[in-house]
Amino acid sequence: MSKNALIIGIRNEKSLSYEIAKELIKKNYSVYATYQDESTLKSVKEAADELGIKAIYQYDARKDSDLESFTDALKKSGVKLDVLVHGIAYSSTPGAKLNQLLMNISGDEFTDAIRIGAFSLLEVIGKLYENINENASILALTSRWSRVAVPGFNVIGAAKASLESIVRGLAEDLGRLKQIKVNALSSGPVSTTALSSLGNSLSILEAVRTRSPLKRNVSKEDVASLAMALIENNSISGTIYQIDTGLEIMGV
Amino acid sequence: MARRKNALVIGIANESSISAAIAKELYENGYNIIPTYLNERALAHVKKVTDQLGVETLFPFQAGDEKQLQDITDYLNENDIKIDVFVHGIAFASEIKKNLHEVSWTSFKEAVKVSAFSMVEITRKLIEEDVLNPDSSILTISYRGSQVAVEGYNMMGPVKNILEALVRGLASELGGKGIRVNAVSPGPVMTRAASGINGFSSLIEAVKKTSPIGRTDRMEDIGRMSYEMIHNPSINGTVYLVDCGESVVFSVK
Repeated sequence: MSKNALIIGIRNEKSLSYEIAKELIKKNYSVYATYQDESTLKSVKEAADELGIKAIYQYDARKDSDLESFTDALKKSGVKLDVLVHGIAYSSTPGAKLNQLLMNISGDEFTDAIRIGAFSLLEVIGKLYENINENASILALTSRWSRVAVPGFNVIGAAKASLESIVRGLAEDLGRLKQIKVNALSSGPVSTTALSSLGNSLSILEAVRTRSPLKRNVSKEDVASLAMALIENNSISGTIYQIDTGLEIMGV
Repeated sequence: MARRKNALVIGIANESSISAAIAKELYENGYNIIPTYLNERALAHVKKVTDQLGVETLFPFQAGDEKQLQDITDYLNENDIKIDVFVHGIAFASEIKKNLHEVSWTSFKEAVKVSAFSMVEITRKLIEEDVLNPDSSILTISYRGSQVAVEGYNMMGPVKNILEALVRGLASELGGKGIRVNAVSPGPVMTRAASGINGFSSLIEAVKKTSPIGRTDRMEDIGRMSYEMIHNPSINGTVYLVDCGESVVFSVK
């Protein structure tokens, strides 16, 4: 019997979630995905068709109605999930206000960032709990920006910090309830739409390349390979694995 | 299967060794395994593992023995073998049963040399003798007792912390050669080395209670994540926990 995976976070073929979906499909998973709204439907649909994704559902993580309708549709189709990948963040959301000082961020912008980047994981699991199999694997995509300040991007850091804490909390809850493993992967910067929303993605990638001991950036294929290894391992839970060609270990 | 890649595995004591699980995974992925054994007394136990991994040649090796290390690199040079993977899985602490504040410098120094600095010594020798391929991968085995105080783990806590610092140091130094260095950090598993630790079976019981999934590591899971770390070109300088979630939970039971 084929296994099922839901991936939240494919924006286009440059997304990390896209690469992970590709890997899952290679391993015979039936993959379901979401798109945020009409503005991203075309690029997600193209990516989904190319990969052979079974169905895509509209889900803007800021909207209660979307959460309701997308999880209902998935439940009605009778799909039981073995894998859930969470790869959405405020930075990949069209219209997100980035590159501003933390002190100038409004309450609404902040709560949007937290809901999309972190709390949505809890909401989706809450709605789909009965449709998640025992021993399932949940994987969230995070970044080192949860622990270091990046000018103009600190609202994402706050959401990622929250996400990582939620990963540990869920690992405890869902492990006891259903033997479900929950982990996160913390990737060094890769060229995605979310990264380019910063406006200076090329100089970020260049800075990382220069500083990393291996003098290169992380490849998306390698991130997807580690994602699969985490998803299919039965002795790993609650972890945040860094994959960054060694950038994090470098001091000044 | 043509075995074109070579893995030097130092640390197999018997079938329950973590290094044995890693060697098995490497073998299944097409590596030629070059193992060492501590001494004649250990040889039969090591062979039980390596006989199943197509191994014909084993080398005696005790950390710090330059002659034995020379013999290994001579063999590699004579047979034109380059190492793609070096697994470092040795640890020793003569005063492991003592409280940390009672440990002698002699014992501490020896523990650091065998359990941590040997990784540097062996790596250096492999580079000096030019038997380490560019883009090769080094993996050592740590334990979370390096970060938190674990009852009974005593002097090995600081020693493993030194090992993890050496992982970062070597990773930063050798990255320019394309060499990656990482550590896998499993939860407690019953190995020969672990049997020397006071109260180890109660540690295992405590971990089972704390882990959200209610058990300790499966050896093959440690082997599989180790393999991923070894062969993934973007993973470098890391210490990955494989511990069934035990370390993220603060148990109040």
